[in-house]
Amino acid sequence: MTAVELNNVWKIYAGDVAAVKDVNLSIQPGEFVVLVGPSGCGKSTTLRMIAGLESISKGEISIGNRVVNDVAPKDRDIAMVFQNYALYPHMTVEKNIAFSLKISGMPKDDINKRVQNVSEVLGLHELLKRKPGALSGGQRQRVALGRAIARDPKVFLFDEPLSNLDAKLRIAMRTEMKSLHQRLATTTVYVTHDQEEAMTLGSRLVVMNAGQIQQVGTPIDIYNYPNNRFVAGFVGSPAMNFIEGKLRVKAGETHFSRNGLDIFTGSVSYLPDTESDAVIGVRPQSIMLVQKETPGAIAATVDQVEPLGDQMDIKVRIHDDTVIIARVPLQSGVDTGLQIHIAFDAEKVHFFENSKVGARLNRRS
Amino acid sequence: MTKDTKAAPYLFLAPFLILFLVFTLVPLFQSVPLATQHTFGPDASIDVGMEKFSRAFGDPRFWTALRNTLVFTTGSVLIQLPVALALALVLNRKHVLGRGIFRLLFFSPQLVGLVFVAVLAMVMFQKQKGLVNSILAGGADLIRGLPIIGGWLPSKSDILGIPWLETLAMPALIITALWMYAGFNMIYFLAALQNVPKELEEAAMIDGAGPIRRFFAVTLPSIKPVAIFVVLLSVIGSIQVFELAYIMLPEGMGLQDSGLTLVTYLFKNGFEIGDLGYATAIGWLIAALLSIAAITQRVLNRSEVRL
Ligand SMILES: Nc1ncnc2c1ncn2[C@@H]1O[C@H](COP(=O)(O)OP(=O)(O)OP(=O)(O)O)[C@@H](O)[C@H]1O
Ligand SMILES: [Mg+2]
Repeated sequence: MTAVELNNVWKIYAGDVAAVKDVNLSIQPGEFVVLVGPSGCGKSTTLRMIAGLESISKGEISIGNRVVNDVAPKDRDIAMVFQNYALYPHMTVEKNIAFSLKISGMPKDDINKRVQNVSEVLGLHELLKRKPGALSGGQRQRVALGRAIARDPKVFLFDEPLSNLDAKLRIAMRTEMKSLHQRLATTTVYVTHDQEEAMTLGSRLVVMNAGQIQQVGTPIDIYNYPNNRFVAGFVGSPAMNFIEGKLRVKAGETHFSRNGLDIFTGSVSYLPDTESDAVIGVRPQSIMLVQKETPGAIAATVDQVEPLGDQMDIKVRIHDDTVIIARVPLQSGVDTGLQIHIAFDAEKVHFFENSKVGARLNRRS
Repeated sequence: MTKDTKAAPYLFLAPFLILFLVFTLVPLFQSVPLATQHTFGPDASIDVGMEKFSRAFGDPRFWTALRNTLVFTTGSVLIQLPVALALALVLNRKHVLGRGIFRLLFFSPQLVGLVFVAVLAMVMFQKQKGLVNSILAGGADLIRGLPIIGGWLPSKSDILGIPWLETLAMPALIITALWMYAGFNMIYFLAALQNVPKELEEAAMIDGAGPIRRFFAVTLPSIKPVAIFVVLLSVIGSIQVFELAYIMLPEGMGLQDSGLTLVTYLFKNGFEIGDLGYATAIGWLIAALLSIAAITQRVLNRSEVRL
């Protein structure tokens, strides 16, 4: 049994705007799936189609093996938390949480028990008699969460629930959401544009761009083996460096050059023989400062240094003014204008086609 | 702050303050003694104490005017505002074809002005040739053939002779005011509705609330402050109803005072009969009525919630 399934789902808005294009996704019971992608990529639209707040232009959505295309939101057994929380402003916290239970005709005693349970889980006891206007952002967020939990739905749908909180609270709530999920084990679909939030929360990520799924996988998978140039650039911080050039792979020996300069030489696993235009991708974390004599060292000039505690980001420029960002252990003496040498970790370089899609060239295994 | 900049706000306010002083505040203070006087022309008067007020309470025409005014006010609030809100709800939906045109159409009586609407209404409510009676008669003809209902219908000449302006003045006034002000109040409601986050309604939808419960549990409470304000405006405006009746109705009040309102009665006493003292007393009684309305609104608004 799957908890949620999307089959060839499309959303086409008036005026031929295709916001979601042919999405296929199968979510298992108890999974925490995060839809992540840049603004406007169709995450919310996808979520809202699952919720039933948006009609499905083409394709089929099932929840718990039942096709729900024509099922009203209230009958889909889902609960949703909105970015702006959407708490009923004139109802107390207690009434907000109890609203759906009251409508469903649950006996008063059971409702009270449920509200007590939820407020225990989320620490809402002191807030029960207050109205949303008298709560802080974090407290409102908690109440919205409580309202969703109280319904005990089959699926939780979250649309950027943390993005209205300040950075510190956001990170605290992340941890809390994670432990909440571990406790309740309810299937969750979570939307965010923040790749870091996605990586920390999701048991599986769905990376979207321009209405299409780019890659589905565990956070580690997606980080280590991005399917294409978009995913590679979107996931990870600072963003991966991309350098266009010529790739030659022969007899297990990989050679990448740009404008006549050797950028990378080494043996890269699972890279088929080729001789073509390509793009090399290197995460700033996979770049080392090395001695001039080290094989594969590239000469570079330091442009900018940003210390980050025990590490630092340095922006360097190689011979043809291509800019590369590296994250290296903090060390003194590295200053603007300094001539240094860098090298790429052969285990962690990525190669992509030099095309619009930029598909990954080095296979996984 | 220099002396000049301190004076600036008052300078900007000066035109209003001067006009307010001359045409509102001074007459207001003068009207206090005036309500206790009996005047003989503009210059001569004698002090009569509270007699003008006690006269009002014993004056059947005053009570008729008060009753008519309250009927008009109740009709305005109970018919016009729900209609305005319903129009706003319909126009607030995403997929309404020609939303802008409808909005303009409903608002258009405001654009042409009260006098024009009143004159038009007078023509429409006329006996025999008036549009209202003609339509009613036409409608009656259509269903005259039906069993049972057909038998109950009055004759065509009876329908054409319905004396709206003469004896059914209040319904005619209420309908005209509906036409005149529903679109205006709709704009307030529409603005309020557009400020209700759509996620609220969606959350309620997911929580299982049907359209009616969503309206009463989510939409209405969210627009309550605006709704109370619109009710107050409507009540105050209705209590002061005058021009509409004065233009539309024969003698400005219909036959047998059927359309006599408080302000019309004030006007008749003050400017046709010339009893300024009595007119002023009625004015103060109207002011008392308005104050009650305003205080009620303040009390209701105290329970207001912020979104
Ligand atoms: N009602 C609508 N009519 C037409 N186009 C729409 C409508 N709603 C959304 N879109 C378009 O669909 C695309 C996807 O929108 P969506 O809200 O799903 O993006 P998102 O990934 O959630 O972005 P964000 O991170 O900014 O919330 C956007 O290009 C948007 O402009
Ligand atoms: Mg969104």
